Amino acid sequence: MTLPPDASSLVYELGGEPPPGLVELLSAEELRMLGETLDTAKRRQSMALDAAIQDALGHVPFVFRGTVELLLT
Amino acid sequence: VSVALEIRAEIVKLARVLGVQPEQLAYLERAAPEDLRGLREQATDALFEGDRDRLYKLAFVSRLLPSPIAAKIAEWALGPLLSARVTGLLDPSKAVDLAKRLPAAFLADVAVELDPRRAREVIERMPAGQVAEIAGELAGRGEEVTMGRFVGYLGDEAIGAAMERIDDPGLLRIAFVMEGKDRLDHVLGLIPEHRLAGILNAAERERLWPEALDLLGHMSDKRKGALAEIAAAQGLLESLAETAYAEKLFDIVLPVIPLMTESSRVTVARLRIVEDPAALAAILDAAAEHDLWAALLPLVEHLSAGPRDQVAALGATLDQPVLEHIVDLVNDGGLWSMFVPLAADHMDAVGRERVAQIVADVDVAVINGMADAVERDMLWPELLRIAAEMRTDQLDRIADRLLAVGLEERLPSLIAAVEKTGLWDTGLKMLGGLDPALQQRLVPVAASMDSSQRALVAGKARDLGLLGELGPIGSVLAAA
Repeated sequence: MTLPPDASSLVYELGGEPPPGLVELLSAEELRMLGETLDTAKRRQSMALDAAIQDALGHVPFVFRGTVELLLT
Repeated sequence: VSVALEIRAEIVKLARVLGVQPEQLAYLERAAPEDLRGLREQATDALFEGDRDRLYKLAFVSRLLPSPIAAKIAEWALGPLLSARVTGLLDPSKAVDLAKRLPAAFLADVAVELDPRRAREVIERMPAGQVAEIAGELAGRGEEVTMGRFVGYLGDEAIGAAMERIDDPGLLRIAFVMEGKDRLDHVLGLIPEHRLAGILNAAERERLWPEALDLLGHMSDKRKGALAEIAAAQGLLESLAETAYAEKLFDIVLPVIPLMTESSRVTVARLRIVEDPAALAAILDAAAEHDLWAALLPLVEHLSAGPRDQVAALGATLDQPVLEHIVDLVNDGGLWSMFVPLAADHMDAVGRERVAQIVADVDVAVINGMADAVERDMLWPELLRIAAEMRTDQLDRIADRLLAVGLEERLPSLIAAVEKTGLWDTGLKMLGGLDPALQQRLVPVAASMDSSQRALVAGKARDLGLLGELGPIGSVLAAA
């Protein structure tokens, strides 16, 4: 099945082709919105991970902190 | 409706993965549930892969740190989303050890975000008591969708313990959204029997019949029958049937009928909704569309006259192959005692003629089954009314098959039925169509008949010009 160009961002974000039924059903705009929503979710998760790692270091006992920081960065 | 609810459940799950409100994904409501499920799993994998390296590093660090410290970091720094992402990367025994140190409320938060596919072994190893605590938390929050994702990964002991913390409507909702429904019947077996009535009553009270019917559709026959009996005992069949009608779910309900006891079938047959012509038409449509005649037929004998007329009228209009299929089912199910009167007394002449054409042409084994039932239940008058629609050559063909077995006993029954119905032409043609050897066997029987009865039969045969057709029987009768 040849995917329409409008599905390209969704394919990129998913790392593969979405279910064919969805591609057939959704409009170009809806496919684009879905790709954007996933992109936003990924960015949000990445930012949360950054913050969590910084926060986590504060909870690590001093004696381990250097090693942990080295491992995480 | 069940598909619509499945779609709704999938959208809720996808929205959670993407961190948006379900309403923001309303444009996906037209999609098939399996496509939404596929998209959700792809999105979950993509989110994991996006931060794969850092998540692995976090998991590595968690392994190095003493469990009390790692647990504190998980709760206070990582939070539920990232803890969920890391869970599947930990050694399962380490993950379980961390979980022991975390409060149920936090673990419930983690469960909401966790992809069970990536943490299968951790989930399996969680102690039943802790699973029950988390289930209690999730149940209190109405997180049936989350729990439905985990059922397929939990052991029986954990499921049993969790069920004790979930109320009856909650169990129904979880079963509805449960993933891997091929395991649903097994899970249902873990529900204590005393709770089944409560679950069915919850279905009525909370308007959860569509969920309950979906459940029914995934059960083994044994459990379906048992649940139907409970519904009957609780007086819930009317409400269940009304929902099946409103939601077009008779294809789920009809297969349960043969699994019910006779008395429950009588109850079903006398439901108000079955007396409603429009609803009965929907039942018959479902039987036709899904080939559920075998399930419906055991109900027919218990219907009152009005619905029986309606069933018969519809039967008369069915395509020939369908009607032939029904006759086969009647024979297989030993339902002639229901079918013969239905065709004779409730079908119009056209319907009787169509049934007659089929019966005239069926295998000898089928005719034997019908003849046995007719003799046993004294249905010769009804059979004669059907046979009256046959051509002479058809009567000739079936006469031997109908009368051969137990010939001597069947002749008096046939004569009595002819007298009762006045269908002399049909009855005498059947006798005339018998093989000469069979006619010869009937001579002593005819000779032993009361002389006035012999005279009556002979007179009728003479009037109809059929006396000669009766061969040696005719001679005995004419001598009266």
